[in-house]
Amino acid sequence: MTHRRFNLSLVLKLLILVLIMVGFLFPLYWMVTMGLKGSNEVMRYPPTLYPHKAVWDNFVKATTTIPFWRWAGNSVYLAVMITLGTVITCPLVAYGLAWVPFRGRKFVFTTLIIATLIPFTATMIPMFVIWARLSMVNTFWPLIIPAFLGSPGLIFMLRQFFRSLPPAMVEAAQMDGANHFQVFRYIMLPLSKAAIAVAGVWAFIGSWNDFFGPLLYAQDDSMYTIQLGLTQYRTYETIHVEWQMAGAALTVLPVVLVILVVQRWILEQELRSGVKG
Amino acid sequence: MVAPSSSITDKGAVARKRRRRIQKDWWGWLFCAPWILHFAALVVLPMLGSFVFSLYDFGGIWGTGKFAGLGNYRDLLLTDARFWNSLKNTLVIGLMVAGPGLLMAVGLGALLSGKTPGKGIFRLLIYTPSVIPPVVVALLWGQLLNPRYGLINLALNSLGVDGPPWLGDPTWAKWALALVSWYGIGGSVLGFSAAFEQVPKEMVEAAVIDGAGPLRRFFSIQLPMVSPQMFFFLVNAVTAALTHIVAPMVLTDGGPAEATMVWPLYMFRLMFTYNKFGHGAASAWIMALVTILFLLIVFRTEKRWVHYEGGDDE
Repeated sequence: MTHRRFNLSLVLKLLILVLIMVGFLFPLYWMVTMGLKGSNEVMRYPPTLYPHKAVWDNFVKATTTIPFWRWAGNSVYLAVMITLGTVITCPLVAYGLAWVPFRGRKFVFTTLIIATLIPFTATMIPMFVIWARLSMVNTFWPLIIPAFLGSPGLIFMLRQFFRSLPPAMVEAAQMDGANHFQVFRYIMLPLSKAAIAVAGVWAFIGSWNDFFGPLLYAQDDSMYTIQLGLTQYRTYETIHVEWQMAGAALTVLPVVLVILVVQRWILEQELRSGVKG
Repeated sequence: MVAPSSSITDKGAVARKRRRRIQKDWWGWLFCAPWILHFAALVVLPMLGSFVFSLYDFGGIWGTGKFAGLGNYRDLLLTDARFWNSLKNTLVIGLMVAGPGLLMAVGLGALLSGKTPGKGIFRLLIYTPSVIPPVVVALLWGQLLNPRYGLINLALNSLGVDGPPWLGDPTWAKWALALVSWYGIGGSVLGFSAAFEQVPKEMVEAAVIDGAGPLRRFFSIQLPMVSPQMFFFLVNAVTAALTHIVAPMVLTDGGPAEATMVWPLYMFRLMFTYNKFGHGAASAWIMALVTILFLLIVFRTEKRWVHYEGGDDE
C-alpha cells in the first residue's frame, strides 16, 4: 500500500523535474532555431515554434558580416594563455597553502579569502589606470598576467583538494628525503590531474565567456574577443537578430562541448565546492 | 636539503633546528610567491590607489587634478541623486535575485538529491545554462522577453495572461534582470543537492520512527543541516549584486528611466562616459566599505543560524 503512494510521489517528482528542465533548455533551443529562421520569420507574431524554412546561410552571414573568426581567434588565444597560467601557478600556490607549514601561512590564506570577497568593480578604476600607465591598455596583458599570478577561487579549490589527500604519502616522501618541490612534482601532481584539469577548464570557460575584461582593455576592433563581437551585429539600418543568434550559438558550442567531455570531473568538483569550506 | 651529520651537540641541534625552520618558511613563501605578488599588485595597490584617486578631482589616466579632499564623496553622497538611485537599484535587484533564487536553489537541490532516478543527467542539464557566456544569455533573454515576438509572452498569452512589456517597464525590467540571473542558478543547485546528500541518513530515519512527516523532516532536519550552504549562497549573492554589470549593460543599458542603472554600471559610466575617475574611485571605496559592512553582518550573525556539524578547520 505504501508502495503505490511512493510511486505516485516519484512520478510527480519526475514530472516536475522534467518541466523545469524544459524551462532551462528551451531558451537554448530557441537560440538555435532563431538562428535558423529567415529574417521575416524571426520577427513574425505569433512566433513559429520551429523554423518553417531553415536558413543555414545565417551561419555564413554570422561569420562573415563581422570578423567572426578573427575575434574568435583572439578569444582562443586569450583562453589558452589564461588556462596555461592557471594550471602552472594555481597548483603551486595551492600546494604551498595545503602542505608546506610556514609562519605566515594563515595570513596568506586570509588574503586569498579577502580577494575572493572583494568585488572586481571596487578595483576596476585604479586597475585600469595602472595598466594604462604601463601602456598595456589595448593589449591582452592585463587579462593574461593576472592568470599567471594565480586566481584566488581556483587556488582555494585546489588547496581543498590537496588537503583531502592522505598526509601519510607526503610524510613518507619527506622521510625519504624529498624536498617540497619533489613532493609536489612527483606525488601531488600525478594524483591531482583531474582536479587541475577542472581548474583549467574553469579558467578556459571563464576567459572564453568574459565580456567585461575585454571591454575594458581590448579597445581596437582588431583586439575584440568574440563575446564583444556578438554585440556588433547591428548595422546602421537594422539588427539582424537571426545572425546574432546564429553567432551566439556558435560561441556556446565550444563551452557545451568542453562541459560534456569533462562533465563527470566538473560535476564532482561543483558538488564538492562550497560545502564545508 | 639537510645534510646528515653524525656528531650531535646541543648547540648544533638548536642551530640546525632554526635553519630548518627558516628553510621551511622559505619554501612556503616560495610556493605562495605568485599569489602574494598578485595580492600586493592587483588587490592592495589598486585599493590604495583608488583611495588616493578618490581624493582628487581626477581627469583621465595621466592627469593628477586638483586635491579635492572628501569632495568627491560629498558630491556622490549629498548631491548625486543618480548615485543613490543606482544604490537603490542594486539593493532592490539584489533582493529580487537572491530571495526567490535561494528558494529555487534549495528546492531544486532537494529534488536532485536522495533517491531521484536520473539525477546525474538532471544535474548536468541544469548546470549547463550556468556556463553559457553571460552576453549570450543577456542577448538571448532579450529576444525571449521581446513583448512583440518573444516566446515568454506567447506562452503567457496561451495561458490567457497578458504579458507585461518587460524591458519597456521600470519594474518589469528589474524582474527581467532577475530572470536572467536565475537562469544561471545551476551551480548553486548542485551545491545544495550535495549538501542534502550529506545529511546523515540515521537522522532522517530516526525522525521517521518518531513519526515526523516529510514536511516536518524537511524543515526541522534537512533544512538546518544545509544552512552552511545557504550562508555560502548569501555571501555569493552580495558579491554577485556588486559585480552585476554585463546583463544591465547589454540587455537594458540601465534603462528604462534608469530603473536598471545598477551601482557597478553607474560606476563604469562615471569612469568612461563622464571621465570622472575621482568620483568613480570614491564610489569604488564606498562599495568596498559597504561590502565589508555587509560581510561583517553576515559573518557576525552566522553563529545564530548556521549549523555546523563538527568544528571548522581554518
